[in-house]
Amino acid sequence: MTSNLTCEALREDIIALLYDDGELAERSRARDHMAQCVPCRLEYAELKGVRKVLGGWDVPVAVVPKVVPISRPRVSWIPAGLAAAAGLVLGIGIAVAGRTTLIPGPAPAQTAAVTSSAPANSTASPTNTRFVSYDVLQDALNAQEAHHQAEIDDLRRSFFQTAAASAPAGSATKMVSNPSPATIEKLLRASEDRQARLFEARLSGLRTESDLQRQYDMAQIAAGLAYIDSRTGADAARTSELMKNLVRVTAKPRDR
Amino acid sequence: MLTNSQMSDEQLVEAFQAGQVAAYDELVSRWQSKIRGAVWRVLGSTEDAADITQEAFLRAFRGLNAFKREAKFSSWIYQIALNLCRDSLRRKKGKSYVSLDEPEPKIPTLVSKGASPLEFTEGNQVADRVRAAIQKLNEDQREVIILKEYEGLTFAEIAETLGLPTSTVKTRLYRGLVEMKQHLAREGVTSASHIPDSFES
Repeated sequence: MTSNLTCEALREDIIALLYDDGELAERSRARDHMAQCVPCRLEYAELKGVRKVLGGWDVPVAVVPKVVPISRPRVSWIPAGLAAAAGLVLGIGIAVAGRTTLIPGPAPAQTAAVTSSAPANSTASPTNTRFVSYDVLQDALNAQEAHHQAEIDDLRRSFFQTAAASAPAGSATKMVSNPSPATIEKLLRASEDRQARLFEARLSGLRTESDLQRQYDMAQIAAGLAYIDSRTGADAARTSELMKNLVRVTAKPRDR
Repeated sequence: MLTNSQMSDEQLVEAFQAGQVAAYDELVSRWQSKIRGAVWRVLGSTEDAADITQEAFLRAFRGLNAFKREAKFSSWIYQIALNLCRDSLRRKKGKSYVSLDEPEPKIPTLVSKGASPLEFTEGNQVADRVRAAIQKLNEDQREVIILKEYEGLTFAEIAETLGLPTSTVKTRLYRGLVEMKQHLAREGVTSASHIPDSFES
């Protein structure tokens, strides 16, 4: 049998064996030792028994409630990708459906596919979504683009006309349809001057407001301090009176 | 690309430090039950366990940007929680409290095991006694036993969490178990186990 000193020195190894943790060499040492040492074997068994009893203490469900996600719902990349794809398909579908309403007359012969079972020329119903060929779609898009361009030109013309009519004669801000760089610079400078004046006026207003607010706050603080002073004075007087009474009551009869 | 739930703790910490705040939610949902259970075992109060767990995760949130990834997140959060437990115990020292948790709700822990009524009662008694015996241990031993027995941390992880050498962890564990044996014996709980006739080396 090994000496007590060895047993004590091997306790850490025995713990390593008990928990099957730590280095392999530690556990082997513990096994080798216990093969010869009955008291250590007994102690090992007892500690194992303690571990078994400890295992009977569970955390009640009330203490550890089921974890509920605390943040916003998670969106993984797969649903996000699917959503994007669905959006794309929907967008194309809407665009194509929109385009079909621009195409006058019955569907052209070169239509690639018709998804609706309804007749090809019944474009009145919005549910009759048709797929059209690339050429037809391209033509329709070109026509639409030309239409939009014409609208933009009209708007630009009317804007300049309105601006020129509303500006005073000889004004620096007179609108011109094709301004030169020098004119643009002049306009910019005028605008900057206006902004600076506006900013200065606003700043001045804020300064005045801030001064007024400070004066008001100071007045409030002064009033508060005066109130606290009066309360403290009253409290001190009351405490003093109570102390006097206390001294009088607790004094020996002959001292009264 | 990995989703948050597929990431390791280290990856989540890295993601958080890179500005992905949602990564922290995953860390919380991954660890809050464990931390809460550990805190409950140390303090013995459901209410305190909830408060301290919340505080621990709040502190971790504040400090996670400065967290150096040399240590494990789990060790770090256990460390924060245990420090808070120690503060709480220190504050309560000398004051007597009547815990509203006494006795702890018992039904859920045994029903799930399909215990018979006799086993149910006996099981509850054992749980109460274990709990009482653990509360009698000193703070150092109690922490080590809880982290090892119930949280399943390795010696190295406990050492990292408590900032101790592994040899000290094992010594505390040994002493704690020996004391537990004595406390349990006083409580009338036998901890006898099969004694092996021999050990083959």
